[in-house]
Amino acid sequence: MNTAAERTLGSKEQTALTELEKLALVASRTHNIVIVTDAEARTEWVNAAFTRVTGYTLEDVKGRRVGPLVQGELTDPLTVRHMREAIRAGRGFQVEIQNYAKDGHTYWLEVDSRPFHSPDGKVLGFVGVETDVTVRKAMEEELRRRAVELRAFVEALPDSVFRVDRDGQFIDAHVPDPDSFVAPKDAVIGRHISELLPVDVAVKLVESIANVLDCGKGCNIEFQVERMTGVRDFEARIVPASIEQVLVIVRNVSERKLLERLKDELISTVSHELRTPLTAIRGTLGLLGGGVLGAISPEAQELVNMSLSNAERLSRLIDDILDLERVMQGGLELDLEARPLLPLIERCIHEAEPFAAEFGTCYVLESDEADARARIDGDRFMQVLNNLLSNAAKYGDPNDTVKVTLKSSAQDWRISVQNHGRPIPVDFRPRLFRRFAMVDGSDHRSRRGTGLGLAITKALVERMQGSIDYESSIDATEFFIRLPKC
Amino acid sequence: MRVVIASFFQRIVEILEMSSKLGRIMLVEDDPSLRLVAQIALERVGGFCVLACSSGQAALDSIVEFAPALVLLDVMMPILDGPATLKQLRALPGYKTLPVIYLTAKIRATEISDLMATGAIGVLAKPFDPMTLSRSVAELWNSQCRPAQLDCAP
Repeated sequence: MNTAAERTLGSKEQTALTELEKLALVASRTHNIVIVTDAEARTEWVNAAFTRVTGYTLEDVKGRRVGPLVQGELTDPLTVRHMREAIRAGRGFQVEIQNYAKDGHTYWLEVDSRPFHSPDGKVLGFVGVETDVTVRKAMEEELRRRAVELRAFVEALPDSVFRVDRDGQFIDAHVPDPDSFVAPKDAVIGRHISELLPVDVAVKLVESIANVLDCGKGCNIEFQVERMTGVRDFEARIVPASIEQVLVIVRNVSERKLLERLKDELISTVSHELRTPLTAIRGTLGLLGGGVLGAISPEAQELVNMSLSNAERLSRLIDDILDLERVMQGGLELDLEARPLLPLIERCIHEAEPFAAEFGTCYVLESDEADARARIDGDRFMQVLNNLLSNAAKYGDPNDTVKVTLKSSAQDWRISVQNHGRPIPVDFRPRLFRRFAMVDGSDHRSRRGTGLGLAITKALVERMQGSIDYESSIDATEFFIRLPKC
Repeated sequence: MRVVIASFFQRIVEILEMSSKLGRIMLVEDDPSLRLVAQIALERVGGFCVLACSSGQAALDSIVEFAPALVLLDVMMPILDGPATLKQLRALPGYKTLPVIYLTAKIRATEISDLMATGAIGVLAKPFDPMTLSRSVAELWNSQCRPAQLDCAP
């Protein structure tokens, strides 16, 4: 009976021992660190992983607390205190802690320590399972650093930046300008565009956001918002940020808009204020020179004629400067429409003929392209062509013809104006299309121009999606413009 | 009979020529120098009888008394600009169709069509040539007003 009982017990013990062996095998082979301590955290057993990570062997640590060995400068004292309190209270704990290996290098551990108890509930010791999370920690740190850097980037932007979802709800915001189009950051996140902006602007924004998300391409919109301090102009750039979110970068362009308005007013005022007295001067000289108020002496006549031509030149100059200003600044509205080219060219030539006659030349048109059409502004196209025609007459050989052609190429219509005569001086060519560019002032022909013609012409051609260029050889010069077919 | 018909047509032609004679022109221009130049040009070159007014209001005040056949109207003027003057003019009894030509430095295509829409018969550009101003005015008047008068003359 006794023996049987002992045998039974022996068999149970045997089973328990086998079980323990299995566990010991797992504990010693696992990649995780396993530490077994007594109730005061003095080490009883460590596995091979412990030695591999920390550099300490069982002999080094047996009967000692591991903490003081592995903790150092970078170890968070709060975490250490938390662990000590838990051990004192016989509680388990889970922490992440930075420790030092025997050779001094640091590593991060995720520690899960549990107490084990005697049948009567007394804490006998702790089993700690620890995982080396150094790599994960480094990645987290890197991510955090990048986030800080990115934040710094955004914070440095003078523009407001918003992350907005498809519905128009603000996910995140950066609002550096107190005079921006919405309230400060905290009042924005989580709210809908329509809560913060006037209906028309909100509708425009939400539509644009949907558009950007659908076609994956950014867009710009402009809008106005009335603030306490007055109406403000804004320009928003919307770009896709993820599948259902966009970034909206909003810039306060009120100052620029104000300057634009002031400049437009200035141009309009200047043009009126300059033209009015000039008109009076020209008119007076015209009346005197025309003999309306009685005959004048030949000398006086010559002076009056000279003054008149100077006044006319000044008048052209004002027109050209204002024109150029408008074209360059995009303030000039073009009436672009597909129009037939040949009739316009014919009309232009017809109107320029008297001018050419003054220089003893005339125009010859060569073209079979009666159906040529391009998207142009009729008046501006004629201005362009007129400039080229008058240049050709002025600078070409007198008593020779100026050849005008309209030809078709793959994608373009090519309109060229060719005159014979001296080539464009080589040193002048780089300045040809710039403002106030004119060849040698001693040439009397150049005096009739303002030096702005080609600059305006180039700007106008480009506004009509075309291009202008020239070829100048020893005895001929050809200017040609290309306009896309439509 | 033939003589009667011939003299009848002769009479019509005379009436037409009379009615087509542009005699009295009211000039409205706030700039004194321009006003003088334009006035002299219209009087000496065109041979018109001209009343020069320095503002839209001055023009409205004297238009009934002067009874011009045509008004030459500046666009940019203080207080009452050209279009505003024209609007008030049209509101006067009997001035629904008086021919008006704008004289302006605003010569962009869109501006011209805007001005024409206010009910003018034409727009002449500043700066103008004093030697040809009268002819331009007469040409506009002939092209715009003579057919209209032909319609209602008989």
